[in-house]
Amino acid sequence: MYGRKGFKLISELDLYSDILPFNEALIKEILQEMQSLYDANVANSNAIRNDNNMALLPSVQLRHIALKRNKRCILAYIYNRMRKLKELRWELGSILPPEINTNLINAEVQWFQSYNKSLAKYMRSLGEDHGFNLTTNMVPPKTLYVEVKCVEDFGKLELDDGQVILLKKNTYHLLPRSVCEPLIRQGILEHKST
Amino acid sequence: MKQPLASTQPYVPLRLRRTQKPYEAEIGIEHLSFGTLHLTSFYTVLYSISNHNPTCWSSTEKFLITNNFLCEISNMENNGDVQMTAEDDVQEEEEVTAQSVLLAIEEAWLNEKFAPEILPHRSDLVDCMLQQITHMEENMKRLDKEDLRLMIHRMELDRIKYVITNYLRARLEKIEKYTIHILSQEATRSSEECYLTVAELQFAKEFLANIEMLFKTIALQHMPGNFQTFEVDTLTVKPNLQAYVFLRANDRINGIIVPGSMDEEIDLEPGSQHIIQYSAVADLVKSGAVKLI
Amino acid sequence: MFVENLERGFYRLVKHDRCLLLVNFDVDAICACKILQLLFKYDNMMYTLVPVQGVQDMVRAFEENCEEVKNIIFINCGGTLDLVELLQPAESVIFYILDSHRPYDLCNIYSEDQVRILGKPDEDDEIPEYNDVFRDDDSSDENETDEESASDRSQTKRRRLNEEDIVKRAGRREWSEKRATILFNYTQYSYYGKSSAMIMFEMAWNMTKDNLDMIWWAIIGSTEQAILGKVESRLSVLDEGFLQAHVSRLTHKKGAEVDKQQQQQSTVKITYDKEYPFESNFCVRYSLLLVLYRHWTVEDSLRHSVPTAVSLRLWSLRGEQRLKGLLADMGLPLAQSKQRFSAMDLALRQEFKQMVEKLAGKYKVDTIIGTSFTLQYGYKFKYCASDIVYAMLALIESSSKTKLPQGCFLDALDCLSRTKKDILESGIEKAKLMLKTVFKTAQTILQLKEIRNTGSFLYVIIPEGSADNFIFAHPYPLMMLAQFTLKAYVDSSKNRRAPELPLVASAVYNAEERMCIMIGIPPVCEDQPRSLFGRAFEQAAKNTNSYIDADYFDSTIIRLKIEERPKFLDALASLLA
Repeated sequence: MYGRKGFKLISELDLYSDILPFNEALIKEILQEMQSLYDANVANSNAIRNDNNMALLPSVQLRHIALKRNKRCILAYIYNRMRKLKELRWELGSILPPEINTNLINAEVQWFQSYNKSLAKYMRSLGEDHGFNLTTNMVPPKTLYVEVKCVEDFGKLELDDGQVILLKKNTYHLLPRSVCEPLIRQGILEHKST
Repeated sequence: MKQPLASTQPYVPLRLRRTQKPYEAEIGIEHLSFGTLHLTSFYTVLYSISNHNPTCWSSTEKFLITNNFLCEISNMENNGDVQMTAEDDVQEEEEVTAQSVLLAIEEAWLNEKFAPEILPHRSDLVDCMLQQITHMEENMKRLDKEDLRLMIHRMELDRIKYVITNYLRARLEKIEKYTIHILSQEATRSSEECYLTVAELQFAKEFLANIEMLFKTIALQHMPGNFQTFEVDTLTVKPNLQAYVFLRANDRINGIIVPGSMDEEIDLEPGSQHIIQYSAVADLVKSGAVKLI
Repeated sequence: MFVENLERGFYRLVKHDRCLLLVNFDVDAICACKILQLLFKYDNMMYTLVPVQGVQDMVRAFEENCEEVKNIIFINCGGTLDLVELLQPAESVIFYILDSHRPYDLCNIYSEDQVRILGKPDEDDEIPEYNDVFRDDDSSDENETDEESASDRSQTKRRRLNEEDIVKRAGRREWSEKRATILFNYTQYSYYGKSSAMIMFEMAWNMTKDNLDMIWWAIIGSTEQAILGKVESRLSVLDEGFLQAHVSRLTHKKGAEVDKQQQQQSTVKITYDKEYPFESNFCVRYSLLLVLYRHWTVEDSLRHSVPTAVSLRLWSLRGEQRLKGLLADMGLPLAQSKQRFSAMDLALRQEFKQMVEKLAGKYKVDTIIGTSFTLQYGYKFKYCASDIVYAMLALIESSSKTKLPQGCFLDALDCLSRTKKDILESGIEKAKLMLKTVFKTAQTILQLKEIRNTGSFLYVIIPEGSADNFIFAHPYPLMMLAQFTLKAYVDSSKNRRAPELPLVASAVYNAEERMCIMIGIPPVCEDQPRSLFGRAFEQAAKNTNSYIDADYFDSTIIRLKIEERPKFLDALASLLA
């Protein structure tokens, strides 16, 4: 009561760094709590207005603050999940891995898609014709080619000049940095520096 | 603001200059006397000084290097008679070379990186540079694969691309963080003096709309009565303009009032370096009189 | 086709395209590959490296990666196989072979263009003439290179004279008999040639792209050959001189300060630019060939080094006493000898080398004094080339159910870079464990007298069941064990013929599939480590109709079913008798 559940919701965010399944049950409970607080407030404020019973005013105020706090908690919860999702977009690209996708609710998936859309629109507007990809070159470039070890089977990779390379677990390659960058971020390749 | 660096010794001169001239941190230290509140800011200052240790500086500084790369590549195989259209356009308006565009964009990038709030956009520079990049890539295709220059040029191109992407990313991050604040500020500006480009503005608006949509569908619509509103005021995040920044003065500036003090004023000599609250120099950064480092 | 000028005939040709590196699981191959990788990195050449453990692995790796790759480089694999036949490559693909296994397959040698062997043919390779081996039956009449002149035979054919025909057929029969003998002589022995890492280093040197790291890797590659007895000692001494010259050249280039006194000990000290807080030393000096002694205790190191263990007969109880005696003679307290070498008293540590040298003659362990290279990098990083070889061997063979062999290979590769000290340390720990197991198993074998003599060769079967014995499923520990037991047997046996006998060792490879691994090593008395077991195994398998899995590039290592082992050994005995 009075925002305790909201606190639980927020601490869940704080405890885990990755995206957990959306806690719909808890949100529903908080919404119910808000509803009952609100109903009580409506009843009390009616009482105040009708009977001029000023003694009820402090409790109305308390409930109002609890309501506001609950709302803030829920919104913070949603906002922070969204932020993590946004980071994933920059890290992994426009397609989410299934293990994350299953933890999202419909509205979030929709938000992700529209974020994708507006980001893509923005990137297309840059440069002259085919746009400019902002998700490459995330780290300052040091060399043109990097030595990488393949940690997971990936399959075929096509380079800019059309060459095809098979990335298989436990093989070692020297590849152009720009091609490797997203794969290193996805954890398929491991950067080896000597 | 021309940097007299020999291209053979790319990084050393910068570091030397920094170690020769100790930080002029007197402003920060005077703040100490104002009580506990400033103590924390003092710590942040100390912390950032230690972070600014020259040996820790990575690529950021490296990009400040002036080189003749752009000149060379634009003249490469053109024998000087065929000039790029992009450059021509700009040249007609004002005398701008590819090299100075690069320098300007590097300065804009550093400013954007270190300033807490969003700065006026420099899409002119970005567009020009992007055109240059495409042009250079075209030029490079004509080079022999074995040519040593090719490697160097590609490396340099990668660095320029990094500067541009990082600059644009920094702006996007700020837009996403301070969406409501930026949009409301933007609404008060006329189309000539607005900070965002058209595309950025659209992105910001869409971003805000998406968030509102998300909030509404998940939570707000289920809330009782007047709690359903999307309260713009309470959701606004504002940049911390009181943050301390490192800067170097380009021109001589007189009479900056030190924030927090009653009427203390300082003057900045050209080339001198300072640590000061951003709010005191925000206008100077925007006008280009100082640059953040 | 041999390519002698590697820069022109190999490096410049592969420079334009992406290449595929297929690297065998051995230390020399890894070192050669590391040198090549560094060169490729300097020149921004894309490559794909796939570790291959055996023939099947190689074929699979080739099939998976052959698309769009024009240059395929085989390091320490493939030279002994007919690659064109085996892999069926597209016309445009070119194979470059850098292989220390001998003999080369003749099809590889006489391939016109597609297969190129890097390096010179060795003088003692005795490669048969082309005409003696190849003769296309259908087109023999047009074949101008045949012994008979072409015009002569075309005329005989036109005349279709029966007599001539018979003569021709007889000639052909004679030729093919001769061919069989030549081929038999050529392929009879399997042995090793010059270290691949050395060849790569020479190439780098010719291109003036060599540096200290590369020479260090070349040193490790050739040290491995010496440690595992792959090449005769004459060759490795020559190599050592060559390497030493390069070390001094390279260190001088760096602006060295050479102390006169140290120069007398043929020690080279190099100091990098003063700005760097470390110095890097490369030493070659008369040093102790004790395994890992810098990273172990003196007692353990003495016990697990082959020369001391054999001369002192450390597997017996008396041997143990002799070891104590040696330590006492040296004046090394027992408590100190049980401490890590690095934790021993400074005075003892400094005198250790002289103490051993003084007593070497008395205890007949002269062989532990020899030359070796040491790399020092900073103050903490001081390793002997042999230390690294043992560490890498242990890393290569550390595959288990959870770790794929290819992963171990890459660990061994990492262990060569100076920045990956932790991997090297873990390798050294693994090496200690491996040496301990080798010694313990050999001790059991010798005490229980499990070495059997068939008259023509010795064999030993490592008993199943012991928990430590799983490491003998890998070829290198088994090879080390075989060499150790053979030397110990020869040293302690009363049989005068013992030094002339080769040894076959066998251990369980996979208990569930009932497979065992078998390895043959040449006798002690031969200075030239040529082993006839490659062919003998093949022949014995044919005679007994048993299936052997000769997947390893070293043909003296095979796998077969455990049930068939007794039968196989019998066949081998009758074959070699």
